Amino acid sequence: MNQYKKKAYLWDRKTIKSDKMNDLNKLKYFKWRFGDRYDGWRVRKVDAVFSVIPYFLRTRMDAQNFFEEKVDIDHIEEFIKEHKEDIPDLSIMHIVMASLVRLISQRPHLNRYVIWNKIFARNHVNFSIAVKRSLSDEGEETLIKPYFLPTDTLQDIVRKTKLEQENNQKVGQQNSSDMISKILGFLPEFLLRFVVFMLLHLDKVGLMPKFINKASPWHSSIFLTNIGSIGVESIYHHLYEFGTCSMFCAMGKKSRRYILDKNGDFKSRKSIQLKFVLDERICDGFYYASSMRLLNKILLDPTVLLLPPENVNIDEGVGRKRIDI
Amino acid sequence: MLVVMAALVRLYSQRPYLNRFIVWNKVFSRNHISISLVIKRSMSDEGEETVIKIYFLPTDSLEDIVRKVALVLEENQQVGQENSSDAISNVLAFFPDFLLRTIIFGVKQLDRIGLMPKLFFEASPFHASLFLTNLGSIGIESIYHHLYEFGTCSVFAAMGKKSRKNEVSKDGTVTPTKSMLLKFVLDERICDGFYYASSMRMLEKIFADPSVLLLPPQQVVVDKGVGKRRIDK
Repeated sequence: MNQYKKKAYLWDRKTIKSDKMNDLNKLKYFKWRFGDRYDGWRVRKVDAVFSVIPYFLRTRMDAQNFFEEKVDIDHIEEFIKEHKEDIPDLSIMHIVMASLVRLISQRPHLNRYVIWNKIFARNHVNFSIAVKRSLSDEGEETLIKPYFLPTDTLQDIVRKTKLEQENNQKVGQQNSSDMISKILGFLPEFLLRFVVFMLLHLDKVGLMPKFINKASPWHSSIFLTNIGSIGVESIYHHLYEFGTCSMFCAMGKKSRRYILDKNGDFKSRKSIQLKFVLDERICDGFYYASSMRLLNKILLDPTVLLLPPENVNIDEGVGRKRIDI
Repeated sequence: MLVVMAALVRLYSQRPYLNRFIVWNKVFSRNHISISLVIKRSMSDEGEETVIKIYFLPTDSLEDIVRKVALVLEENQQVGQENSSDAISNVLAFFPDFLLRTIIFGVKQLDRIGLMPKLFFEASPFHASLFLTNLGSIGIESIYHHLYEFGTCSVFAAMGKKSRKNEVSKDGTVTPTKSMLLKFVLDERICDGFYYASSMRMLEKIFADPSVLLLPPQQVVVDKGVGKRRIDK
């Protein structure tokens, strides 16, 4: 753990470019073995039922479940006001992101994915976020992919996200996904179909070029969208067949409701709706349910995010000896 | 949960189209009522999980439902016990990837033409009238659960946790009410929206007065879409 802390301190927005940062955020728990991928370790130590299920439920579309959580945010807004000066730019989205990173640090099965019927444990924690470079219908849309460590605090999350945004959000700027899309857009249809078909199949066997993986928003721990920021309610967003993303989280707009307490008094509550679409093949319903309860607990007291977690849980399904301790 | 199961069985006895399924573009009427459930043998992250399938009759009363469920649970809920789906999974898990893919492809294709071995059918939770999950028992709200491509299950029902809210009546008095959210995912190809809506209204009616479940239904409605003469009376 100390090793990761040290690395986090090494991180300096002036000197380290985004790609370099992504390498620093790679988890090095286990040695690479035949059968692993460059972005994950094969999970073999699971129940027989669990290891067979991905062969029956072959696609992510055939394995998605839809959860939702209403999160009260009065206390979160209060928390943001309190930390306005020591954590500039802090927003509810950062708190949701930090809570999800903390959740993954404690519930590592959520960072698994299934590809070609096999379960893998991801060797990094990252988010894909769609951002508009300007808020208009014509405004360019792009995707950012910040990488985090399980030990990251709220401050780290805000800093890393901000750097990633700065590198990507200027109008007219081009990041790697824009570049790849542009090149692919030049190809004639039949060739484009062939190239994409090849990429899909190379990804199945873990041989897709790394630069595509780095640019792809579909290869991430969580796809997050804050559609509340454009004033609409949360949605259920399907999981993508391409890539490895097993969790889609959509944040809705803030809404106020009045509830009646036991004494018959009205109380005002501000909340946001979080809607999750999850791949049921990476862990069972009980694990998801316990994870959702933990997420609620973190969001109820965001001060826990100011410090790194006391311990980080490692996916025991990989079933190998750790090499980092 | 048992009351919900009994209400659903009663609903199937009155609204038989709900017990249809589609395989290979063809509509079939199921010749049994079965409910698949996922159970944890111990309530921990590492606790073994298994699936069970319980068979019912349209004429079953609440008492029959309770008895049948208790019997199946007794046979499956002990840690270390192995049922047919565990056994098949254990055997399949031994095969290398490429062979397992081929076997499952074969099983799926055989299922399309109704020739899948019966032992798979007996063990498969995906071949049932209804898949039911009680998420309330693990303290979370209900979810929408996709329908499985493999198998014949056309209805997925998820029960959420119990929640209490205060409601204001017309005269301004506050009444606390306890409720539970049931979320259904349904295959729209087995019957139309009106049939579903009427069925949901009937389900609500049964929940409003669960005492009707203590006796068998007065009559059982049979799927007339089959269009054949009955041989049992």
